[in-house]
Amino acid sequence: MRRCLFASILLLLSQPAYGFGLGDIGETLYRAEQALNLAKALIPISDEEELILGRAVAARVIGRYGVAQTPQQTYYLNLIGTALAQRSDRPDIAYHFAILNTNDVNAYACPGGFIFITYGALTMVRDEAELAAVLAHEIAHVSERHIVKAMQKSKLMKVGANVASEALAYGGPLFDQMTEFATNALFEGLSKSDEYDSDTKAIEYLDRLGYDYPAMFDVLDLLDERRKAGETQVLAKTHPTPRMRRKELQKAGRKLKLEEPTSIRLKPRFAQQIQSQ
Amino acid sequence: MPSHPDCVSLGKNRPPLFDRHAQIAYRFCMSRLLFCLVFVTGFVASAIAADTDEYYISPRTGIDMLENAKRDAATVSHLPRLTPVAPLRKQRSWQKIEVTVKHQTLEGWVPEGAIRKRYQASDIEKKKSMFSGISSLFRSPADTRKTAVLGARGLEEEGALLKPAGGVDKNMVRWMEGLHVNDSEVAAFILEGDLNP
Repeated sequence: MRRCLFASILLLLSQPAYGFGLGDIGETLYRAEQALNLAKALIPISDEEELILGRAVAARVIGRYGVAQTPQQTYYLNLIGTALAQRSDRPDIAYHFAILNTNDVNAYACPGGFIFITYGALTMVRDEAELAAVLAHEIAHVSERHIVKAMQKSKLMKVGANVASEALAYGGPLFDQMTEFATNALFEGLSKSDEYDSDTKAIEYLDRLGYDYPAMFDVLDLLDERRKAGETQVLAKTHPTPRMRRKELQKAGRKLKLEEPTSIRLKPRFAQQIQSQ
Repeated sequence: MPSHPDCVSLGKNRPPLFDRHAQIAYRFCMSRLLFCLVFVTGFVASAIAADTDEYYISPRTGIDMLENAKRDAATVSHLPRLTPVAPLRKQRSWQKIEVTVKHQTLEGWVPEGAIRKRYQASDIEKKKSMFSGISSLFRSPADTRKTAVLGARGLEEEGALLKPAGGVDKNMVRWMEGLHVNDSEVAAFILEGDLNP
């Protein structure tokens, strides 16, 4: 009887051996657990890591177009942007805004809160509310972490969380690849749903700050006019058509509980700050 | 109670059939235990082997940090980044290292965080291939995947798209970060525009 008991205990003790890869089921379970851990490990990119990545991406965007060093306009842009960012869904990070030296009509949001509007887009909008609408759209890309999420889901990040965070903290070839990925996602364009989502969020942010949120529709109408005139070639490659965006925004807007539009457009202030330069 | 005649000869008061079964179970368990032991030994050996992997000076560790390493032993300074080093012993947050520069072996102290294990490209490939089958079960939503695909396509075309278009301007990023707008200025701006405070 004692020997039987001893054998049973040994049998129980020896079962974990399956878990260490000696049996088919044990091996599958072990790998599934590892894969689960890996899937979990893909998710976290901290705000600090995002900021490091954002700096590198912003450096490439600036390297491509150059920044207009117009202190008054940039300061004005930062005031509008910061006010909007404070009412965004991610107000706890520092946002920085600048003007890109290009006549293309476009705007870019890098991870970590680096936001650019092109000189072409700045001269296209007609009042402060429309400018705020463009910035709110970009802030929404940052607050929703669209590029970071795309990167986390990409094959690039399936290297293990420790390797990725090592690369983000200390640089190296993998960090360069991540930067290139994020920069290309920026220049190639995000998915349509990311763009529609940002349009919807932009309306919310405009409403929270008290701007006349139909300005967002006016910006889309302006873009449509420019598109027909063939002046938004870059934007057309990276965004859905303004008409489609308008349609989706109208659909999504019905579900939002927005206040009545305020008619605050602040055209004179905009003219003083931007058009007088 | 009279004992079984076979058992009397063996000096045991059990039926022989039961004894054989117990023996088989015992042998089976022992073999399993042995396998387990071999695995654990292998695991420990690999952990020891990992510890002897190549270490290097972190790329973000400035030479200043090395110059500031003040211990009794000679201070290693002016080492190029990514120089392979051998970690010797730790003392609090300091790490003693050995480094060979121009056939001369030097020893010195650096902050513990200054040296990092070197990740080989083959490590990454191995991890990817090992789990690619199962991790494919955890697929992303289609739209996010599309963004990822666009990014990856950009990566492939990176040579054609990005490099001729411009370089990297870190100074202007610092300039952007230096533009400080404080809360009181934003509050005044909001009030001036009659926006929601």
